[in-house]
Amino acid sequence: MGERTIIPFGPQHPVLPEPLHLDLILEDEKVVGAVPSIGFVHRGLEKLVEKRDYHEMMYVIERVCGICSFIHGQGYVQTIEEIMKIEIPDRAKYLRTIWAELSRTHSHLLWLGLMADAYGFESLFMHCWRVRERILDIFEETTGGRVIFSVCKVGGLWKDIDNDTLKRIISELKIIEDELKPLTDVFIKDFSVQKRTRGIGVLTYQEAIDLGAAGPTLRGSGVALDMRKLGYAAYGELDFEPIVEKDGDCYARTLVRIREIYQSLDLIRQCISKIPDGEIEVKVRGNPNGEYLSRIEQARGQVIYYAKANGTKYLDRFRVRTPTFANIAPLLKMLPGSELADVPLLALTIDPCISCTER
Amino acid sequence: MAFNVIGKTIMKSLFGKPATAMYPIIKNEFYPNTRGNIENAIEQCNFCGLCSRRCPTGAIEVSKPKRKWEIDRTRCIVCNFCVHVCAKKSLSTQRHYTAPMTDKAKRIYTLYGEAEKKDA
Amino acid sequence: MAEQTYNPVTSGEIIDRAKRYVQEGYRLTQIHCTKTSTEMFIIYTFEKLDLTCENLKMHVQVGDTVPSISGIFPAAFLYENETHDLYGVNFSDMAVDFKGTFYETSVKQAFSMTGADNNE
Ligand code: SF4
Ligand code: SF4
Repeated sequence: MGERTIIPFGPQHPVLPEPLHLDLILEDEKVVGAVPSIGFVHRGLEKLVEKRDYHEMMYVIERVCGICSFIHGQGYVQTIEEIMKIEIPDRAKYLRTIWAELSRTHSHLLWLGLMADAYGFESLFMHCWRVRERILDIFEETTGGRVIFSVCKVGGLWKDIDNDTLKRIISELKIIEDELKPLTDVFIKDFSVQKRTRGIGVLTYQEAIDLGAAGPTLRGSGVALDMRKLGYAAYGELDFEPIVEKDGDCYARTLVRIREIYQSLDLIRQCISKIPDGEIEVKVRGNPNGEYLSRIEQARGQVIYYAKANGTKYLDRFRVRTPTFANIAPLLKMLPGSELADVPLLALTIDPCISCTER
Repeated sequence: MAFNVIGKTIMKSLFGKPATAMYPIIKNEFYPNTRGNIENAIEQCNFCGLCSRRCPTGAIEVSKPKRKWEIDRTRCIVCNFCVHVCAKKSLSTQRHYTAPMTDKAKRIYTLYGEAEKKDA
Repeated sequence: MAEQTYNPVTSGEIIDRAKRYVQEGYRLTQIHCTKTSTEMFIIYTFEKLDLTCENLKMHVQVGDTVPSISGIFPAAFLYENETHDLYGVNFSDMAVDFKGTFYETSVKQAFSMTGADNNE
């Protein structure tokens, strides 16, 4: 048995642009324990609800995260609509689903790029992000923003996508799919890539459930839990099954995300073929009163919003539990027993977004 | 298992056109929807101050007696909310982003209504 | 959508309730604390793989000590540390106790003040 050393990992690390700090306890090159500390970017955004009225708060919540910005906004307005018992028009539901799925695609592409970067595959990283640009262009064309969209509002949407643009999106999706195919093949088939991902950081089925893992981390371990199955927005009318892989290692988690990209593209096509015409917003009167806890599925996993309103235009409490928070415990489970060189990879496979974890 | 799966893609990018554009020689085309920065058609504004009260970041300052409308460009997050709430429809979102600035004082952009002198 | 219920629970019962949820196949989804000007409570959310979800609501005060359920649900320690650091609710026997260093906010227990307390 070797001597024990403690090596600090992060909060500044070349692989991880997120301020996650781990104290790694090492025996020679093997990790035997890890203690996380977060809280470097705690902004207290949740507290702002007491000073911003519930319409304005939407823009603040969207800025919790730069990647899942749309889904954060969507979750927030859904929660408020649930409290106020507002039923939004069908077209708005479909449009929200389209944007949410586009968000998921671009988030997963971003992650694939970072993953390639984590094992030093720079050119693959660049190519993933090149494809992602196309999705950001769709976003800019339809919402006006590349990262922060500001299209959701309590009671519907600010912007509509006209049918011509929707058709154009379909042809764009085809191009994206064609460009993506050779890239995802690298993740799936390449020998050196598999060398770095197969059998690394195994999380078993039971561990994934017990530790409260979320999203691809959970589904990579064989648990078919996907909040989209709750049928919020338009998901109830779409045909899809949660994507599951059994192995629970880095390779399985990569596969889940890759297959989810194709699934998302398919869901967008389904949405566009089914989208009804009509209004995109309803009038909202009065202030919310009550509480609601909603669960929706983000690119990184299940995210939970809880809102408590008191009948004034300021909410009492708004709580966001982001998927990364749920995935920290599984990460701590994966780390012991791995090599020091695999730590960045493992930290990445949960797709950490620390800034949104701390709000 | 296969080796060098990315080879074909590499060949393509070696002989193909670059994916990036030569900025600033080639400027980016913005979409009609792009949210760049907030402008005020000051002759329509009645200085009601609604935009400043509803702005999530408190970037706008309006003074009715001075007939002044002022925006802090670096605080504004271009969320478009002020454009939606303005009853006079005097605010609009332009397609171009705020130009980079070397002087911090330039971030404040002030407009005066007609009763006073025109611009600051 | 369906109405949500929040079953009341006391700090004495929480361990037993948590054990019962384990047996029924639930897993912990989240714990969070809420403080309004009139009340303060912790909400525990449990979910099953068939998407059903249950909430428990426990009324507490700042400075109270609540038994930790991290012995039953290992993932609970993160939420309990968070609640401790932001709201000043103590948890006894946490699996991993950061002793108030999980979130290092400049004001201790930053969320235990409501807007009314600050009188802003
Ligand atoms: S809301 Fe419109 S009219 Fe009122 S002060 Fe602002 S810009 Fe002027
Ligand atoms: S765009 Fe948003 S942040 Fe900018 S001034 Fe208008 S309301 Fe404020």
